[in-house]
Amino acid sequence: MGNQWKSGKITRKDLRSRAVKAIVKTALASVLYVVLVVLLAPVSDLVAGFAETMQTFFIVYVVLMIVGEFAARTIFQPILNGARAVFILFYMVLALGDSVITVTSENATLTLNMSLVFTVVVALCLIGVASAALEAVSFLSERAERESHMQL
Amino acid sequence: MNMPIRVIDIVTSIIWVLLIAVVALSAYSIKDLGFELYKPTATVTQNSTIVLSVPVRVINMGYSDMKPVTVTTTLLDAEGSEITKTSTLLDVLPRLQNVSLVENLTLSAALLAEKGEQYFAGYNFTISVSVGSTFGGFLPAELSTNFVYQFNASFSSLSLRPPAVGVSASTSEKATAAVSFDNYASAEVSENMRAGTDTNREPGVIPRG
Repeated sequence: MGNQWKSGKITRKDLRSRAVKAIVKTALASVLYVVLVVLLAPVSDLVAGFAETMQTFFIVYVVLMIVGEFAARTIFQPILNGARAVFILFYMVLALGDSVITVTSENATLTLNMSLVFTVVVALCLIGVASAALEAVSFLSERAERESHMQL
Repeated sequence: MNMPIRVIDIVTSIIWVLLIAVVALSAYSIKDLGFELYKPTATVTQNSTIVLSVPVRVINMGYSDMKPVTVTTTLLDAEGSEITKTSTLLDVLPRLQNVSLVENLTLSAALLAEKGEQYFAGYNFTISVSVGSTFGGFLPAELSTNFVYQFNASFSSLSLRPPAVGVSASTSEKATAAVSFDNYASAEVSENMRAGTDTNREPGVIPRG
């Protein structure tokens, strides 16, 4: 890692390890997605467009995750992590709206109050954004420190 | 990356996984909540109140107990305004079991009279029944339905036939008029009928038709 920072180049070995990490993370996310699709099948039957919404969310999330993994140890990694947290936040705000989901089927109405879930999601997203900002600050300070050492 | 930032990332990742798991399992459990409604019956009490009894059977076909379960029954008028409401709280509904209960809605006869037409044309009420529970400890869900309940008229098709006047030798006249109506209400009618004459008209003249 230190050699790479000094040279500013990404070695083939490093690229390979990042690819392996990205593949492992994508596989884990895919397993989680498949489990979610199975568990949420009753909801998908009731809510039109729910499956498509989940699919879009999953694709964007995984793409940001893969790009973020390849941008590891650069300033782009915290930026992409922050973007991912902001994307989840906005997606949840748009999807949940007033935190109450109402599904009507024939003569029955199902009302879900997602307020608490929404609050936890927003809190986690904000922590994610804060963490990304701290990561960026840490990265920049480490680089400045390294450059000052090199000048000496 | 600094260790504290790494720890924050790990902890938030764990919370994310737990949150997704709990929400997914809760959403999966919601499909196991159901209820059945049976025909309501109306009874009139001695103090002129009407009790509408709505039998409800709450079903938990899931693999976990539901607690607590709230059953709420609301009587609404034709405009959708709430008239009366009753609620039953079940501490726990065990898994793969069902509970039958009767929701009693009490409404006064005076309130029915306010609805005006119910004596002659009946009145359509809406009964709304909802069953709610909290899934996974933090996902409140409510399943509801409503149906129309007709409070039938006591004096449906009320008609007064043309009176027949009998002239007697004495100074009085006897008029006979047939009154008919159908009682479709759930309660029996037990009232006195009183007939009168219009004193503003000329005596002895009964309008035709």
